[in-house]
Amino acid sequence: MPVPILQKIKFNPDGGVIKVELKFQTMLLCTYDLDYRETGSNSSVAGFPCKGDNSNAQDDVYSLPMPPSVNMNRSLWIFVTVIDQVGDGGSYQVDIIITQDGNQLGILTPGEKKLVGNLKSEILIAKFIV
Amino acid sequence: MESIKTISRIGLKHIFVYSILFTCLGKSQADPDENVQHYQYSANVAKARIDLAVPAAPAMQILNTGSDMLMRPGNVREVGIAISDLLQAGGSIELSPALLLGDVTLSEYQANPFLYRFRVSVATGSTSNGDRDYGWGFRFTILDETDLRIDKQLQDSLVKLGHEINSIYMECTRTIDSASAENPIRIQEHIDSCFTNLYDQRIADVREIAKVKNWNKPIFEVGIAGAASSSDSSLKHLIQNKYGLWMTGGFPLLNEKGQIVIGLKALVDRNASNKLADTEGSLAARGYIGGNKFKGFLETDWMMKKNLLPAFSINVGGELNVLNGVWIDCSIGISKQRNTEAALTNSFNIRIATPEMTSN
Repeated sequence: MPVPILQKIKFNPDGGVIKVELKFQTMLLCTYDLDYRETGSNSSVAGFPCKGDNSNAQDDVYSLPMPPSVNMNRSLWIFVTVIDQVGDGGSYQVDIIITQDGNQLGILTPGEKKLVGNLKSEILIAKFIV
Repeated sequence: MESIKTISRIGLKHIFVYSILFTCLGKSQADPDENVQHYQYSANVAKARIDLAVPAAPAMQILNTGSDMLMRPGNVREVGIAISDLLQAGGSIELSPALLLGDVTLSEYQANPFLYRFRVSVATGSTSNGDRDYGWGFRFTILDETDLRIDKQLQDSLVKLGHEINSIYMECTRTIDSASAENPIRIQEHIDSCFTNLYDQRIADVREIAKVKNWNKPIFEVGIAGAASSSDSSLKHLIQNKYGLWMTGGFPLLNEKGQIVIGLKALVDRNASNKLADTEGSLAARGYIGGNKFKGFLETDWMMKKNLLPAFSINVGGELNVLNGVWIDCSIGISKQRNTEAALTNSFNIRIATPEMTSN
């Protein structure tokens, strides 16, 4: 298990909706589970966890609860498992792009990686602060 | 004597097939043609068995360069290096332009597999008189239901496994204390303590099941190629002197138990009077019965070349996957060229390919 990526994301509590977009640059199969956790707790915020994968062309975009101020000190845990569907290996890049009012607040990414073996998991954590 | 021994090994049930064959061949023996030549029997007719597959790099095939010289670069930088090697030392290169030029995602591939499976090959070589040969080729995979990347059933199973793994991580991280949750190294240690690596094998197993299920699904490929030669390196005197076409179709037989593969090859070559008029054609069909690990087969092929008498062969044999990436195939059969005696043939080959990754 690689070291999780943890990043603090500054947002505007008086601004618009915070959006989280997952981008997968790979021909490997990627599945993800997205959990949004309450401040100082490991319980999930209502409406989470959510899950998806990269086998369809739909955008993987999620909105965090409104008003933005409720997201203070909450943390977003993204669990991604990359799977070799064919058996040929390959490289992958997973980017989590967080935006508010069209402005990019941050990108969480393990960078471009090569899959060795049949699967690899990545954990990316965003902690929201002001 | 050797032929008698061979026939006794064939078994009685194949004698029926051979009887039919000899009856057909007997007709052709009564039709001599003085204007055509015979193949050198031992050397050529025994080799009349046709490779059914569209060649991996049609450009290489049309120049008849060795298969060990094939390069398959994975990115633009590697292409540059490969082309430089190609021009200096000869060899061949095959690539998929769409895969190379675009950052392709899985959904893009699934939406348009024909585009991403299209491959271009280029080859260079030298002749004994110092001329430079250049080959070009295209390979089109029109249909490939054996492709695991578009197997929705396999994908659904793997997506389920992926979410299962993610859920284990998710539940595991719920038991982490809030101080450790701020430290990625401590999160990693915590996760490693509650996760087992059994999933790697489970993914390999699910994929293996899909392969067994898919091995004989429909596939259809077309390859075209051309060869040109030049007496110098300036390309000014480049003359196109050969064209080739390959077509291969594979279709299921008896559900998952068998497959019929049909292959067609046609070549046009420049003749002694400098005209593109030397033609060669072959047609082959092979029926497989068995699974991915072992297949028995019965095949027949027919080959003709301008000014040569047509040749025909029928073979029965088997293919055994002994190790990951290693196959043994052996066969026995009969080859016959018009106006010549039929000959018993046999072959034994060990084929080695890149081993497939099954588990970490």
